[in-house]
Amino acid sequence: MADVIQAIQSKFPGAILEIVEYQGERTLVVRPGRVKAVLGHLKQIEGFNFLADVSSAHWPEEGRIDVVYIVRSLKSREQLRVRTPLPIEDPTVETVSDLWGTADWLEREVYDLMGVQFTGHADLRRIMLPEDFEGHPLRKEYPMEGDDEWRNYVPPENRE
Amino acid sequence: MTEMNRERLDLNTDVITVNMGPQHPSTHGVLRVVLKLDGEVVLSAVPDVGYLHRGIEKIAENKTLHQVIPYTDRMDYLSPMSNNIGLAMAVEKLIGFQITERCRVMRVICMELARLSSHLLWLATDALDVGAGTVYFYAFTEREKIYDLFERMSGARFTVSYGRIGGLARDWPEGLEREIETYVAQAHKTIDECDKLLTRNKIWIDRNQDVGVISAEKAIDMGLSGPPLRACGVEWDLRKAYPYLGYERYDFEIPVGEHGDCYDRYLVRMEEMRQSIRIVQQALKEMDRSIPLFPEDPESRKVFLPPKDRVLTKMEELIHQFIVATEGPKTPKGKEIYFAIEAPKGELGFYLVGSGTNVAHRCHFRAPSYINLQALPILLKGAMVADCVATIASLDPVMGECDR
Repeated sequence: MADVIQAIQSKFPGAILEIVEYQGERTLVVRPGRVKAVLGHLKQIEGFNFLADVSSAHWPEEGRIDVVYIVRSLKSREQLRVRTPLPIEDPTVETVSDLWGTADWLEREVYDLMGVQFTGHADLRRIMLPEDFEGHPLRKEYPMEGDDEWRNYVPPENRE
Repeated sequence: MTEMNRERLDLNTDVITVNMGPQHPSTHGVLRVVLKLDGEVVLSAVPDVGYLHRGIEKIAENKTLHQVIPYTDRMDYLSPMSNNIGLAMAVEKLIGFQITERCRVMRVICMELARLSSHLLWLATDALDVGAGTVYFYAFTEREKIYDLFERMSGARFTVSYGRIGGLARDWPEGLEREIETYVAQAHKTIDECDKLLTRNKIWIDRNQDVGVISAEKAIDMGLSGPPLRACGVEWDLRKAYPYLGYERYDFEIPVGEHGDCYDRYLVRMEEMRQSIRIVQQALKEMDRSIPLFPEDPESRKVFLPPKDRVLTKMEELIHQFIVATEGPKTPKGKEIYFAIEAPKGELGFYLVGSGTNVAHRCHFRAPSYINLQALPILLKGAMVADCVATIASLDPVMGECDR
């Protein structure tokens, strides 16, 4: 695993912003512009042939949306998480659906529920919600219920 | 349509679009597939999902972690045991909690019984979909017996909500081990009977062999997991690859197919049921009532809900009940984990991000039904209309889990 990270660092200098380890899992925080290149390298050179999941997380205080890729090599059983922080004003990242077929629906889900744009995606439509739905429900400002939007939301730490 | 065709001399057919679902009985829920047909041949199939979207992830990010457990029952409602035990294990990984040895063994038994019951339902409906009605009654009778066991454990038959963060909802009643033992000792009978009815049946083979084929490379590319991946010949099972709950101690095999068609998926699931029985039998031998179900150190007691009978009689447990129910375990802020189990349908993953409070900042479920269904256009290309039903049934999707 260490040589994989070293190879990325030498091939894409400055792409890895941070390496986080928690509970035996490793996360590479990658600059948004380089994430496609890093994931392509992981798939084609390092043999991470299985994309387990694409997810996202909204951090309103920091003003960013994280897109998270979980890649895995079925051969060596190594697993790695690649996370990229996108600015909330323009959450756009290149698609990886041409690298892994799985990413097609997973990215559509992230687009639908979190409002992240994936450039180059062949069919970026809403998947869970109807086409005419407004807003992206998994953003933290989206309310849990009612039509009085954006006012009902209370951050967890302010709840009684 | 056929009448019309017969009258025409050239017998050419127009390409027509057929809407299969969301109310079609053999789509296993509210799955809609838009088929483009040239006569009986499928030119393209586009699955349309989302009819059962309830926003479980959004709800989960607004409830305490203990409150999320009943919602996970409603994802893959055919194996709720795997869902809520899986979520509990993901939360335990996030907060760094160690469960006791007996809890591990009990969870293994619960999850393997869930796999058995889920596969029995698949067997029943798959056979029914291609016209073998008899199997349905055999398999459902057997499944009811597992539900009887679940009822003895949790009080509920269907949506059990039996998993709990740090343990299980309550200890098994006296003598349940013997009941499970008696059950699994005869469970293979129904599987053998269905095996005899189907495996060498000419009609069954004709309807399933070389139908819905996918290659191993394509299956990995499309992220298939569980029996559909193994039917392509890829030996991949999370219980072996990343053992959890002490699965490495049990002696069982991963059945793999060869051709990646409906028939191989059928064979893989049939063998998986037998392997599950083996695991349950081994786990029952390890079951030791002298080990406590919950850990006893003071730090751990702030995480799990204490047993109800003690809450009503002991002061300390009452206090713990109050603290855990109102506050519950705190998740570390900004820390993230991904934890996946081999659920009956495939890889059920949980991506959790801590918030510093008792609510998860992000709670994403990697639903195997959702990702397996994505491969449907590949499986159905060039197939006949009747094969659609067999192919969808052999993927075994559950829309509650797919749409969340």
